[in-house]
Amino acid sequence: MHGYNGKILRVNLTSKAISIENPGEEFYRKYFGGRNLIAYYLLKELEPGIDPLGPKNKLIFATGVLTGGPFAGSARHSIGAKSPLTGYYGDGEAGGSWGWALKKAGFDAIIVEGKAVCPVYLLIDSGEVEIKDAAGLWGKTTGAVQKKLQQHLGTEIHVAQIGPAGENLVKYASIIHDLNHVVGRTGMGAVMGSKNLKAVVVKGGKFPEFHDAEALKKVASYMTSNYKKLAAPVVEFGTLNVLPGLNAGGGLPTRNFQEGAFDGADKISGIALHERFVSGKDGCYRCPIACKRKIARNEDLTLEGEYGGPEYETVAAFGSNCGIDSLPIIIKAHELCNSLGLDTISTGVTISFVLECFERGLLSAANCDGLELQFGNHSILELIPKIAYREGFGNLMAEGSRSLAKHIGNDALAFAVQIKGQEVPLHEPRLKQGLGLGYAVSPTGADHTQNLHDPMYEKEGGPLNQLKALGYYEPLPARELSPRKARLFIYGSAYRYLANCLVTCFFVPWQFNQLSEIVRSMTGWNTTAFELMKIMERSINLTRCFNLREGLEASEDDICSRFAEPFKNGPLAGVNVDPEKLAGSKLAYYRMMGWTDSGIPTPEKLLELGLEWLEPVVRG
Amino acid sequence: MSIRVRLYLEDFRFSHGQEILVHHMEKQSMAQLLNFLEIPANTVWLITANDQHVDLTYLLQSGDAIALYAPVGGG
Repeated sequence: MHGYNGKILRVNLTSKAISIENPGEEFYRKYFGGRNLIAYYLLKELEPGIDPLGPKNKLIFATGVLTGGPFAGSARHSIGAKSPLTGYYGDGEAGGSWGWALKKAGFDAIIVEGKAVCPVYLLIDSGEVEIKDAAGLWGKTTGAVQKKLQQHLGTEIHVAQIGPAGENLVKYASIIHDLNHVVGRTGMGAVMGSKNLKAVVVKGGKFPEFHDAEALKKVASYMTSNYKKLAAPVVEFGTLNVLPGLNAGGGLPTRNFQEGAFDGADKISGIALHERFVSGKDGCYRCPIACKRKIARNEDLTLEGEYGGPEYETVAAFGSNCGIDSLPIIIKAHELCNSLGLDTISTGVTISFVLECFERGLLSAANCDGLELQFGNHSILELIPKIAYREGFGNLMAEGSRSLAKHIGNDALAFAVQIKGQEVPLHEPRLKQGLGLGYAVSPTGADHTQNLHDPMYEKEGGPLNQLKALGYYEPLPARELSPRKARLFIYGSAYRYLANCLVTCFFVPWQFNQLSEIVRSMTGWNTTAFELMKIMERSINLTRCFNLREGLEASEDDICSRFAEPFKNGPLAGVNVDPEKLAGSKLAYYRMMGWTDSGIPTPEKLLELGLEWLEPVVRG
Repeated sequence: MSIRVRLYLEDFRFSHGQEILVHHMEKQSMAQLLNFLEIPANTVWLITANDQHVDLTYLLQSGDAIALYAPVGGG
């Protein structure tokens, strides 16, 4: 057994029972880890229809077979459970060092069950596990908790924790790792809070041996030598490098996705951030790309610095999409979210929804705690603590934009930019039409990471070359939506769906043959790109089956009405997502996946993937 | 008069957002500009001239503000 421990930790917080399971090599080979591991255990062990915030839900922290390896992009892990935000499968991934540290501490995954009577945290030190009292940590911000745990346990620890938002069961609460690496989406922080679990601290141990360390070193050195050439803009400005291009292309979400270009884009760009606020680069274990940024402390702006800098999603969520062109306000919003434990995407897009409701007269200061809210108004910062602590109007916002829209009534739901209950990330399907299909069929609701970013495949070149290794050769226009685009979506999102199982970072542009070589060197398996594609396909079918068992219907594989509206002006004036074309593309996707026209995997498809144990789910 | 060219490319020769000045290319095409800068056309997703979308046939004019963008991904 190489590259992983072969040990899964199970902690029942109700009974305080701690056990270790050894699933065996066959399990690891078939599922690899991450999303596949999480979905496997949720399907095997959860009763259908349970309350996501009840003790019967299980929260699973999972590394993958490649997590923690000595190569760029290895420092990621997944956290999953039934989502309180969507009611379906939920998970998210984070980088940093926590996943590597968990594996080094002796475990590939942790399954957390039940609910503690009072607040606790888990301490995992070199294979030893303790459930510790967290009464002194509960209610505190993540920065305060990190300091307190470091004072008590030393600075070598790595901490996954919730903030007050998770404690208060905010439906889009996040899990924060070492203050700046976040599992943000699908409300995993709320699930953690529902279990009275404040933190999981890992330290010590010894990383599992590799099958062929020399071969691993050789393939790893390729990226170390070439990353500046292969990922130049990310190296220079992190994820924020995409903002000028999206704005010029008409796909920068602006004022709650009503527009696609923002007058203040230059003021919130990566260049502006670097000129005024960045004090250095930051990144994940073993990664030379270092896509994160450190922010200088600035007392005049009350910036704290320790939570790092905002990435593209956060800048667009609180910036253009809320009509704000002030980087200090955006950085402060980012810091508040990381200190309180909120997903910046859902928080920002729920706020932008409220702003549009104000604009349309559906809300007023009278029902928003006296706040006069409008696009571009800096008072949005006041909403963030209200959400985290469920104070006043914040209590309604804490349920997410779909729930809030139903509470507001009238036609408010038309302005809630969410899919399956999860707020849409800051990528515009009217610009990237295949992305819209990806949003519709995503197992976790609107998600940009496991998706197609169409402009990358409009012309011959690097991204398309990567797909040629899989047998896809044809460039397509970003604004085409068709069965051909469904095919491109399947191939173009494959690397990203796979990354959620390995668990690796898709910003690091490994070729499929290199990833196969890394798996071979780590584990000793005779893995090929074909096997990697089967791993990817299993993840889509496992999560599909989970959602079907929870009652998902094909009609829910859709996007919100905002994107059927043509832009009124800007570079994409007159452009919308045609619902008929989307429906046709979705049907083509179902059929290409080996599913019925109702989006149900056939028993034969499941058998082909070795998932025949899921047949009872698809037979209803 | 010169032409200003701002570059948002995945090309490590240029800083992201770098502006360069190009002289004596008036009335030449955008394709010729890319050729002059040794930028392969397939690495450019979007071209604007004075904030308007243009293509490789666009003829450069004195005082133009050109911007070249690489394909935008997401993460």
